[in-house]
Amino acid sequence: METALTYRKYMDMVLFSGNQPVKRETESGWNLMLAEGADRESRLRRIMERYGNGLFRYAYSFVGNGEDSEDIVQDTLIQYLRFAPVFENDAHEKAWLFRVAGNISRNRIGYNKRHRTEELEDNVRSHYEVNELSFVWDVVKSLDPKYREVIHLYYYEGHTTREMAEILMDRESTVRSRLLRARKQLKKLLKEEYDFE
Amino acid sequence: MSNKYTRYMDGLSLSKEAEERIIKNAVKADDRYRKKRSSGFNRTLGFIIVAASFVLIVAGAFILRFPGKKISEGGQSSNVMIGNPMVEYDSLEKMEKAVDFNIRKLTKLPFSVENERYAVYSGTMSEVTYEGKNGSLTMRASKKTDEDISGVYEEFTDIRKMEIAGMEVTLKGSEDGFVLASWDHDGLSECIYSEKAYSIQEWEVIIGGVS
Repeated sequence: METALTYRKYMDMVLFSGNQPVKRETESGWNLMLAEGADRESRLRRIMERYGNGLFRYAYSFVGNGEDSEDIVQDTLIQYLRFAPVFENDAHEKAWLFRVAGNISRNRIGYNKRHRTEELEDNVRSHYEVNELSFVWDVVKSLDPKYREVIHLYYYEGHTTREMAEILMDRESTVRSRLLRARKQLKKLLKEEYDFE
Repeated sequence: MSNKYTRYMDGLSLSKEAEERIIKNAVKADDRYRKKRSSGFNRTLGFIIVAASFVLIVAGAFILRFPGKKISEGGQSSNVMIGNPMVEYDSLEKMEKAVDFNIRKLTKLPFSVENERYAVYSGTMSEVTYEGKNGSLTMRASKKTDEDISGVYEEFTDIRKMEIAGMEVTLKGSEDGFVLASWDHDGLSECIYSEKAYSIQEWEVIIGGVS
């Protein structure tokens, strides 16, 4: 049976065909926020309270300066508002936020390589520096970003390799071997100062 | 566990001022995004209203030109027919007859399907929507074309081309996964849109199940 084009179907078609972000956002995003009655600022404050410093430090482990790390936290929160994801539990929420922050950080590394001078980076970083331990950071910073992120997630965030695999959207075996290689490089570089056990 | 690295990282934190600034800036950025999205919608709606008005004016002028006279010769019809861009069908078979090509279906979906809807746009493009409690997938197909048949013009931050099920598939999405897959196969252009974002592995299963 053919049915006439109803107004709702017609508007569905317009939304689906036009220059609009489609159903995912309108249904699970804006409407969900309306239904929950939660305003955006209070949602962000909760995220900031729980994960703000964690995201900041994770971003720092990639870009090595406070200014960019703040921008990365901000961009992560913008994505959080835009996609309004619904999480099964706290672990899922944290994994999503760190995955987004990691992706933005990797993009920022590429951008900085193309546009930014080393001098500016050092000036900004010194504001956040903890001097007596900075040599450890200098060594970690010298690693490839793919090793830095597993070091940070494992040693600082205390994630298991399985959890890291979820955040990095990679196989657990890949994460394990990356962690092993990162440890080997650190052991070689830090010598007697090595304490990543 | 507290080694020198973790102690170094513990020394880094956001100031209260920075936290406030970040929250305010994120909300402002979201406001700009919503405003842009809203104005885009208004432009689309405005275009539809203008187009619909034009059709009515033309139809009205035609009726006035031939008052009391049947429009179609041969006694077939006495009504003004305006083409319907979307027609719904209650079966895949009827829809196949309308578009005149074989429509492939999804056999592996990441949720239980509770309802299927069939529609044809402009007599040339088929659309099957699979709906369930935990998701919705929409598959469109038309005779091979260079145009984007998905109708999804969202800006994607992650676009990848890869071979899936022997076809060159373009996946589009963002940090949280992919929502749109498109490809050409056997003289047809096909695409699948999902409300939820799925990983590459999940898309491999979904596309592998198209038959």
